[in-house]
Amino acid sequence: MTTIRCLRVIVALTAVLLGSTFLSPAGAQGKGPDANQPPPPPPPPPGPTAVQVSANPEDKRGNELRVTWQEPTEAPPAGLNLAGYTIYLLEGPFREGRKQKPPKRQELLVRPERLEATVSDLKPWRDYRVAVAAVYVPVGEELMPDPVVPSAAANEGARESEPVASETLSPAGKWFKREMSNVLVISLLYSVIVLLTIGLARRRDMYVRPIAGLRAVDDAIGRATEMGRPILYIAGLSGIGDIATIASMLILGHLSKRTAAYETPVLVPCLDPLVMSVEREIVREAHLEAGKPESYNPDNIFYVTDSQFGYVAAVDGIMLRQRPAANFYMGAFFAESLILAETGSTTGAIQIAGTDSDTQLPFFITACDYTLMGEELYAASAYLSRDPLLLAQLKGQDLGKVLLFVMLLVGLVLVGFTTGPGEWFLKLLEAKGG
Amino acid sequence: MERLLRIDRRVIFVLIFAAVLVPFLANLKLKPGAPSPSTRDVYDFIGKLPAGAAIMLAFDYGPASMPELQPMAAAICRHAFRRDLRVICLALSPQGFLLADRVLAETGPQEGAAYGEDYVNLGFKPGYTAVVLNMGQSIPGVYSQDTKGTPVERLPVMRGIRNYSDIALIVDLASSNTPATWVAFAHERFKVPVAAGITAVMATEYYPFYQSKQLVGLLNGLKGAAEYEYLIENPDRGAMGMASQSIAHAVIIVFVILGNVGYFGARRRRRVTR
Amino acid sequence: MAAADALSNLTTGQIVGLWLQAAFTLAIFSFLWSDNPVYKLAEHIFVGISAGYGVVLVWHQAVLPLLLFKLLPQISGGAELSANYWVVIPGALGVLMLTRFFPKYDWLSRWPIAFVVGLYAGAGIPAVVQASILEQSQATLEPLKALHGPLIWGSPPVGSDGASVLTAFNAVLLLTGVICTLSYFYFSLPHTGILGVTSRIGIWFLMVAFGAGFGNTVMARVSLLIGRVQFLLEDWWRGTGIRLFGGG
Repeated sequence: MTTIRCLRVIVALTAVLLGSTFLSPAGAQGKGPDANQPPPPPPPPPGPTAVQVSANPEDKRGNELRVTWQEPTEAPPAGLNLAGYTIYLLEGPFREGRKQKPPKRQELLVRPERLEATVSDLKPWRDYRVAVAAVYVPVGEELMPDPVVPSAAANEGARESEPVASETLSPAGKWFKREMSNVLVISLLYSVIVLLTIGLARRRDMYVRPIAGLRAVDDAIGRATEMGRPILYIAGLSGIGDIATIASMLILGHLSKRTAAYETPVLVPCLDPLVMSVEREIVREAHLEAGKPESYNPDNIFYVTDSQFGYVAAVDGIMLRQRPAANFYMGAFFAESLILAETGSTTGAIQIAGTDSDTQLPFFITACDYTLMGEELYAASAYLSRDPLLLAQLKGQDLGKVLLFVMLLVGLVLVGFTTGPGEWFLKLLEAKGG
Repeated sequence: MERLLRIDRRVIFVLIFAAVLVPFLANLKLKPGAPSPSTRDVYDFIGKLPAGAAIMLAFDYGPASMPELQPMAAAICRHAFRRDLRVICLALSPQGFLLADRVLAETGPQEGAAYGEDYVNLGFKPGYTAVVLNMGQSIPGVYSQDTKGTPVERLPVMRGIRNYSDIALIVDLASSNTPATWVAFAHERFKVPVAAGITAVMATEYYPFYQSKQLVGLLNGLKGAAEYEYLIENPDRGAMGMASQSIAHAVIIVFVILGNVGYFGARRRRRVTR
Repeated sequence: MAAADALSNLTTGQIVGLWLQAAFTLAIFSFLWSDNPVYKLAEHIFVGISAGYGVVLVWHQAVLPLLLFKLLPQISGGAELSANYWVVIPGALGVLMLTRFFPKYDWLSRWPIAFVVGLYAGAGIPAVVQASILEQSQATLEPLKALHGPLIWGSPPVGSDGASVLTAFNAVLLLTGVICTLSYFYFSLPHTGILGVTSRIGIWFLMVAFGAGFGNTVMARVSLLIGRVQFLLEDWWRGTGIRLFGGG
């Protein structure tokens, strides 16, 4: 019984299978032509010819390709007019025998009289092909870009040819931008100057003019020691990468070496955890060098917060509660400078500031006893540390200033007193960007 | 004379506070004079942009600088919305995007602009220079979604915006040195026009950039904001503060004079005694 | 007042927020009289909130979207569709920064620092040379064209009217200021003789600039006070005061 049922099932399945393979067309034919069935799609309208891609000679960054094509050679299908072209971008390696990727993105829609276009926003040295398809709209209509996808046609009844793809090409930017030569020359010249001065500074000591504010450092240390009060040192509110912070840390090293001998505590509240760890290292080394490793207390260098005014509120609190005898503000400062210096001056502490933040200098000058202005901060760190690298940097900058001075004088003569050479000189300084 | 140098600071605080408060209580209003050329340049630049152009507004400040920069942001947004410009807001400062939300929530509906259609807040991205540089290659590459988590490709306001070449103007509203970053990396490298709205503290630092035309214009502190508000004929918070500002300045000038009289008087007396 | 109208639709949460803002503003202002416990409380809360906000922000704006969502798109809630394993490299460099907590391995943290310093120096040097040296020098020299009128025979008389004479004067003043200020910051020679004279003039230019800076800052600080007074009067008092006390 079971065997018979199984056989029946197999026969039925075979019949269905055969029916679907061989019988169904016959069955369909048997039904006769169906008026509701959509007619087979008409062949696609003719596409453009001679689609060629070339690098854009004006493209400096290597993210553009220029594509050109010719009009379709065949006439448009009945009732349609050639209304424009749509440009596709095909990305990625196109090797023979590999299944071609579908068009990746539709880029542009151009009018029929245009036979060239530039595809931009590409990545340099990547393989691209550009495909162009002709767009047809019913006779009497204008091509309307789609409001959502402006690179597609919105006309009802618009038809598109098969996209015709170009050869593969990679956009390549220029290796050398001639209009940026002036930047290169200045960068190279300055690098050479600094390298030469480093070599010189290693061989012999270099003169740096004494800086007035530095003489006050020793007075401040003496006063703090006499009064038995701590010194407060703020290394600015910038990060470790800021040259002002680096200069400040070198000055902190010098200060710690001096204070270690008298065991005067130096409080260093920090805004940046990285700066804090470097400062701990510097102060520890300074105490070692001073022969007083036991007087180093890492808790004196502590993290507060990375919020500008949160930090200021905390430092103001320290000033008012612990009443340091001397406050040092060395490094990069922002809007908080006046608040810090004001509060410090109300506590009667000696205040010494140094910053390269031009906008904050006025407040330090008015509220502090001594102020190192701008580059004086770097000069002070070089002066104190006698580090060849810093000295060389300072000397390099001085030479840079001499060059700038000469350039301005030449400019004065040429621009102020001549027309042709003056224009030429100004053009020489023009930076055209990259 | 030395008495002048020993005026209790609290007297100064109270007088300044009164100078600021009284105009508000008395509803006193002072119209600033002709707008500074640097403010007018920003106004004219935005005024000449074609409808549909996109401007980028960078909110590079925190709540501490709100009183100066928020009115500027509001005035620029209003101006842009009235001119049918697209406004793309972003922030290099962590709290900036919240302040952008506030400005947009107020000015957008009032000026008939819709979120996602006419303006968007892309939010904060850490990395300052890296963010500015990378947007030169691709803005959606840096900001793939807005603060609400909507992918930028679904926002009509971002349609066609690929990099700086699709941005007509960047306005950096800043309380720190970010305008220099925008000038060096967006303007110099990608040649996109940059304007800045800054706190008055930074003015001396940024006028050279305006003088060299690296900035198309500059709004300087509350005064710049008030001038812009009058230019768009919509006096608001910036304009309301001008009376207080002027009276407070007068009080400060008086104290500066008194302080100097006291200082030089005391010095002369010491010399005479010696 | 428009601001007060908008505030009349506030939720209770927003009203509490406004009262907190006002209370903290007044607590910080109390420092102007003298240091006191209320100020200290506000200060500590501010420091704590800022630190907490910073941590949360970095987590949500950097660690999650830039690293974790890219590595594990399934946790991104649709923000990332496919994994991008390239972010492992910057992620690993970031993790190396944490070796600072282990003195034995803290040298490893120099690698990410070296990467960042190298990257920024490379990107920054050409941009700074261009923006701050070349363009600024050009802008210093460009106005000197105003000298043509009085100085170049046959050139259009641009210097003949009052305004252009003033432009020419400004141009020369600008150049003098730049050169003298530069000489003040020259450290390789003592400031004596000609250098002493130019550097003294340079200091005067600096002081004038600082004076302008100071004036602008006074304006900025007064603006901040105006902002707070506006908040206290408009948003807080007229906004919430009306509701609670039936008056303004």
